[in-house]
Order: sequence, then structure tokens, then C-alpha cells
Amino acid sequence: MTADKEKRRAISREAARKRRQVESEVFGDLSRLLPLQPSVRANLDKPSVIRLTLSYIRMHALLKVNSATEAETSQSVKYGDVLEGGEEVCDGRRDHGEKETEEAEALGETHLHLSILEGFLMVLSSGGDMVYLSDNVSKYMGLTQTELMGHNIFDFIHPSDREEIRSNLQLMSEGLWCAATRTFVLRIKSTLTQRGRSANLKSATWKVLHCQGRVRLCSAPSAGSCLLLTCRPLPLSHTLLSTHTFTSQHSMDMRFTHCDQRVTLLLGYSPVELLGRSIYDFCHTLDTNCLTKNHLNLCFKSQSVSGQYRMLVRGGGYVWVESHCAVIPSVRASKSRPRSYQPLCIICVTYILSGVEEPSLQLSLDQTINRYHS
Amino acid sequence: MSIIQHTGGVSLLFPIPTTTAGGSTCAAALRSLQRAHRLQSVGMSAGDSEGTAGRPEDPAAEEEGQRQAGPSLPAVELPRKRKGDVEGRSDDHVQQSLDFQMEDDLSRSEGEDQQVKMRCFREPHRQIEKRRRDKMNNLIDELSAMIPACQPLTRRLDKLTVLRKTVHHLKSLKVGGSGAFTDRNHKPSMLPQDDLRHLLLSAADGFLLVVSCDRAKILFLSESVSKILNFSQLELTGQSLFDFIHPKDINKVKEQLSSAELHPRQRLIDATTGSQVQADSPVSSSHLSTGARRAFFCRMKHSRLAGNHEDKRPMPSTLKKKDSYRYCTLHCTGYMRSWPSSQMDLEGEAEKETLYLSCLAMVCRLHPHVSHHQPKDVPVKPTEFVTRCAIDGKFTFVDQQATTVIGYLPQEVLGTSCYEYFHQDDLQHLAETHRQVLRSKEKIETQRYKFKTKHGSYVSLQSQWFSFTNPWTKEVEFIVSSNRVIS
Repeated sequence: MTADKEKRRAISREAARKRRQVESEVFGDLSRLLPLQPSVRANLDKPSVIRLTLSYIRMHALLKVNSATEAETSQSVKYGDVLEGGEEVCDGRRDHGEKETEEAEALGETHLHLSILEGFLMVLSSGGDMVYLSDNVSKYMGLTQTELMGHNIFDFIHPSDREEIRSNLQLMSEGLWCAATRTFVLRIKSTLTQRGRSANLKSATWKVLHCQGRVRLCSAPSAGSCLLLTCRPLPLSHTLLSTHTFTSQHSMDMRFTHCDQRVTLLLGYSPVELLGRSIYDFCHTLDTNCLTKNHLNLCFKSQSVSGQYRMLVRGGGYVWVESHCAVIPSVRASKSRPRSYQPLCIICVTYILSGVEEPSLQLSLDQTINRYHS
Repeated sequence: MSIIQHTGGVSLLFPIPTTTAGGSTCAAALRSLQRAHRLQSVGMSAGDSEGTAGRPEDPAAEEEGQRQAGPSLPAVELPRKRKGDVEGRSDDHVQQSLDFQMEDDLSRSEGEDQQVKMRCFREPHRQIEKRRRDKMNNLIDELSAMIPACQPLTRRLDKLTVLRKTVHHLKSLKVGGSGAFTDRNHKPSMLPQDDLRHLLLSAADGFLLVVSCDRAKILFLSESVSKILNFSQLELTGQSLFDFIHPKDINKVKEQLSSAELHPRQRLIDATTGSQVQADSPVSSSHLSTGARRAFFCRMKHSRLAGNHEDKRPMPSTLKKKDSYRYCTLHCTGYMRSWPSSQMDLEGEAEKETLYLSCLAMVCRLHPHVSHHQPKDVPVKPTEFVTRCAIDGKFTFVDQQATTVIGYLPQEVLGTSCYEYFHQDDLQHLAETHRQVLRSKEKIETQRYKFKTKHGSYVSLQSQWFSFTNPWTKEVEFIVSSNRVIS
């Protein structure tokens, strides 16, 4: 090695160092411009900084288009006016720092909304990029907002659900999916463990989410259209005191294996006479597709929401109902509780949406047959 | 980045940092020396490649190096890669490179054979780094496509220029925006809260509703209610919720509001085990954790007055006509809450005696599956009717439209075989179609055939038959037939 070569190398080394320093500095500036918590910011690597910047700019473009099209409601009651209870709005009165107060009120309202929604907000680009996620996403997926934003949803969903998502992401094409609203069930990676702790992505489990939302079309090419979704896990919950719901248990082919007594008050059938009968026998034939889709979802994804369908009432007429269902894995009998054996089954919570319609009409044999027998 | 520090470290030979023990400093010095060696053999071209992944293990040493290397530069608290970090978890290859790095570091201390090991690692390492650079370049490209300042230029801009322009762009966005995240109090969020609120409401196609439990007074509604019910927020606030609910649903809602059950006898069904479990406090925030969960459906009035708001979206065709109102079905989910009444004093109306005012805070969403709420919306024309037959052709379901076509009431036909009504001439064809439909999963169209009406005459029908296969058992359970009159 000659001294000359050594010198040149030193110069280029110095130049590269300078260059990288400048670059880091720019990255630093960039990350400081992003609305992040300092602890998050400190842990971001360069690709993440760009990823989040991209999301941030996209979201900004999206909202700019929105606010231009949306008429401002001038005389609206703000959350904080009515409920002064929140800590956020205690002493910030209207007259001083109005903007701040409004922001705080919006915070109170969104906070309330997200917590009673029991889910998170997701904005998807037509390509499936998760442009925005509300920060409570970590409660449901384990991964945090900053870890997920800007990534593509296809990297996180169950391979078998990809086709369904793809068709739901077709925002503008003609045909079946042209409708502005979306409702579907998908399986997404969750790093939450049973104890609520966050695990590694490699050991992630599938979480079933019920996604509902609408398409937001926009003509400006830079912003692009997107899909606004609220994603919620499907808890099978109901208040026991409600007289307008009943629970039932079905074998995997949707035959009743158990039903609670409230069904008698609501649909007229006694729990016993439902046993062994298929749910398809009790629905309006025009709603067969709705139930089939629900059934398929249950077979593949283990949880589902039926959507609205008609159940025939004993003696005549029908009511509109919606069922929230889940597949319950089989429970093996243990030595201490030998009777606890339970095969794979489906549990449904059915909500009654309407009164009995057309009560004089008898449409199906199953509606009438017991009347003739008894 | 780390290489800079290390070469810097080498030339300065590590002034002893106060925070670290002498041993680890020596180790770090040794490591960086070796790294410098490697650098020379790999060549400067790979210099950048260390990048974010290769962070030295000794932070003190690194800091020291940084300070020495560029005293004039401000400390940049930036891209450092930590194990188990964001990207590391979601991108396997970064993790890989990290693992590799770890191993590499370990091998350092083992002296002689490390050169051999490094040679083995070098090849995959290059590939990993190439992938990393490609990824970075893609991101930069994407960025330059988003930044207006980068648009008119046709030639590809270098990384630094794109980044600088991005910084400018972000600054300009902030000037225009609310700049809310400079606030000291609440944590910064990616979206201004007001925008988030708008997004939430429009995504959910619903509104927030807070109702007091004792008198069902509407305490709060989000402004999006006007899009759903066509009543303005002001019209409804302070009113009784019951005035806006379908008369038949009032008891249902009353039941839900009953605050005697504030602390729930509610049960949640655990979806993984099927056992009913006692629900624990629903939301972690103390602010909201007071009450039981509520989930129900109810019908609410929809004002038919036009011009109540400026929304031009066509009303869902699903709303019911009754009196001067139509109704729409809402899915309401939420929690019981209680507020100390002192806070309600601001409103002036709360009774001073009640210690707590309990209310139900919920999200009401327009029910999405509305397309066939009204019987008239059933996609069946007057000359069409739907029947369901058992596999043997026995009618098990006949819809009400059938009466206008065949004269029979559904219950007159139920339980009888469809073959009783077929004309002799068509029997062969229909039996063949019947056999076919049991074998096929497709919808099968029959030819035109004659069906005997109650009056003894025949009506010409054409039907589309399909067999329903149970998704679980894969067995055919029944045949659905939609029939239309051919004149």
C-alpha cells in the first residue's frame, strides 16, 4: 500500500462519513416533524421513518380533500359542552384558547368513541396499505400504531382471506362491490397472548375481526381513494336481562343442539322442538344465502356476524333477526368432570330486530307442523 | 453510521468513558479495530451497508465515537436499530442481519478463526444488505412520488435531495395544519383529533349517543346524527330518547337503560372455550370502566323533512313508512357509565341529591344489511315466487307471492309434493331436471312447464332450481326454486 493510496482512501472515508452524517441529520429532522412520542421516535430506524412519513403525507392529502368537500356544520354541540366530566376539558373554557379547547373536546369524544366502539379505525389504500390506524390498535393486535402504519395489510392477514380482501378493496370497479359500504370478517395477526402480553410476530396468532366501513372516493389523483374501516373483535356478549335476544347452540351443520327458553317468547318454538332441526328450516328461503355465507365464515374463520335475515315464527309470520356466532372448540372430558365432553359446536346469540311481520302468513312446513301435531 | 464511529474510534483510540468498565471498553476497542480491518478488506463500497443494522453493543463507546467524530454536528438521536425493534419484528431479513451481526460480534472475541468465519458470513451479508438498500430505494422512490416539489423533475433525484424536500413539505403541511402536536399535555397523535373524529364517524356510518338512564334524556349526540336520522344535533339534545324510538322498541330500550343492572349480571361467552365468563371491567381507562356492556338493536325515527341538512346522499331505501316518520334499524353498542352529579351541575338541571348520574354511552350504527328490510323490496316481482322443496320434491316453504300466481295459500301447498301440480306432459323433463339439480351445484333452469292452480287451470311457469348443500356436511338438504310466470 502506497501512502498515496492510503491518503485517498482516508479522503473518501471522510467524505462518506460526512455524507452519512448529513443524511442522519436529515432523517433526524424528518422524524422530529412527525407527531410521535419521543420514546417511539428514538427507536425508529430509517426505513420506519420514511414509512411513517409516507403515511403521514398520504393521510394529510386525504383529509385535505375531505375538508374541501365536507360542509362545516357551524352550529354543532361539542362533546365538552354537554359532558364536562372529562379531565381533558375541566377548566379550558371557550373564551380563551378556543382552538385548544376544541381539540381537547374532540379528544374527549374520540376517546369515548374508540373505547365504546371496542375496536380501532383503519384507513386502507386501494393497494392495501394501512395508511392510518388509530393508536388503540395495539390493544387488539399487540403491534403498535407506529409499527403497523404504512405496512401492507396483506402481510398481516390470513392467506385464505386475501381474495376476500382484494375484492373488498376494489373501490371503483363496477359490479358487486360497487356499493359504498363494506362488511366482512377477516383473520389478522395478533401478537397478544392469552395473558394480554405482546409476543413476537413469529408466534402471532390469528385474531378474527369484524370490519365495517365505507369507501371514500376521491378524484384527486395524489390522494387516491381509500377504505375507511372500523375493525372490532367479535365478542359474543349479551346482557342476560335483554328479552330480545336468545342464545342457541348448534352442531357444525347448524342443527340446534340447545336453545335458551327466551326463544319461546320471541319465536314461539319451545327449545325442545327445535332440537335436531336445522336453522335453514326456520329461515325465509330468500335469506338462505345470507345464512350460508355466515355458515361458511364460521367453518373457515370460526367467528361471524350473520347480517339481517328473517326467522319464521311458529304459527305464522316472521321477524328480522341478526345472529352473532362463533365456533367453540371441542372440550375433552377430564377426570374430574367426566361429563364436560363437548364436541365442536357453534354458539349463536340472536338479536330480534323487528316485531312479527305478516303474522297470518304461514310460509313453511316447520312453522306449521307442530301446530298440527299438538 | 456505526462504521464512522468505529473508524473514528480507531483513530482516537478511545478515551476512557467514565460510564463503562475498563474491560468492556477494551473489548469495544478490539471489536472496532477488527471491524476497521474488515472494512479495509471489504472496501468502502460496502461502507454504507452497515447502516442501521450494525449497531455496536457498547452504547458508551458509540456515543464517544460520535462525539469525537463530529463535534460540530448536533447530536442526532436517530436511526438506531435495536434488537426486537419495529422493523426487526416485521421484516425478517433485518432480523436476520441482526442475528448475523450478533454472531459476528461474538466471533470477534475468539481470535484467529474469526477471519474464516467472516468469510462465510460475508456472502449472505452482502445479499442482506442489498435487499436492505433496495427496500430503502423503493421507499425513497415512493416518497419522491408523493412530494410535489419532486414531481416536475424527470430525472431521478438522489436520496438526500428527496429527504430534504420531504422535510420542507412536512414543514409546509404543519404551517397549514393545526400544529396541535406541539402541545405539552396530551401525547402527540398521528392525526389531529378533530380529523380522527370525522373519520371515525364517517367510517362507522353512525353516531355517538349518551343517554341518562333515569329519564332517557339525550345528553349528547355527535353531529353525524344528522346524516343518519335527518334530525340535527340541536333538535335532539335534551329530548327524551323514547320520543324518537319505534313504539314497539321502547320497552326493549327501557330494559337496556335500567340502571339497577349497572354492575352487571352480564355474561360474556368466551369464544375460545364456549364457557360463559363473568365480564371483567370493559375498558381499562378508569374514566369509562364503570358499567356493564350493552348491545342491542332498535329502530329510530328518521325525519322526512327535506333540507334538514345538506347531505345529498340518497336515503337508504330501507326505511319504513309509518305515520310521518320512517324508521331505521340501528345497532347500538356501549357501556353504562356514571358521572358524579357535581359535574352535571354545570348543566343546571341535575338534582343535587343524586350522587351519581348514570347513563348509557353508545355508538349507534346504521344497520348495514338493509337491502331487504321492507317486504316490498324483496327482489321478487309479482309474477315470481320462491319455494323450497325437500329432496323428494315435497314443498317445505312457499312464499306469499305464490297465492297470486297459483291461487293456493302457502299452507295449502306445504307438505304436498310438487309433482301433484305438474302436468303429465312435463313430468319426464321435470323429473330429469330434478335428478340433475341434486347432482349439480349450479343453478339449473327448467323449460317452460304447466302448473295446476287452485282453480284447476294451468299456468305456465319457468323455474330456476338449485340444491342447497350444507357447507359443513356437504350434503344436499333441500332444493330452492324461484318460479316465474311465462305468458
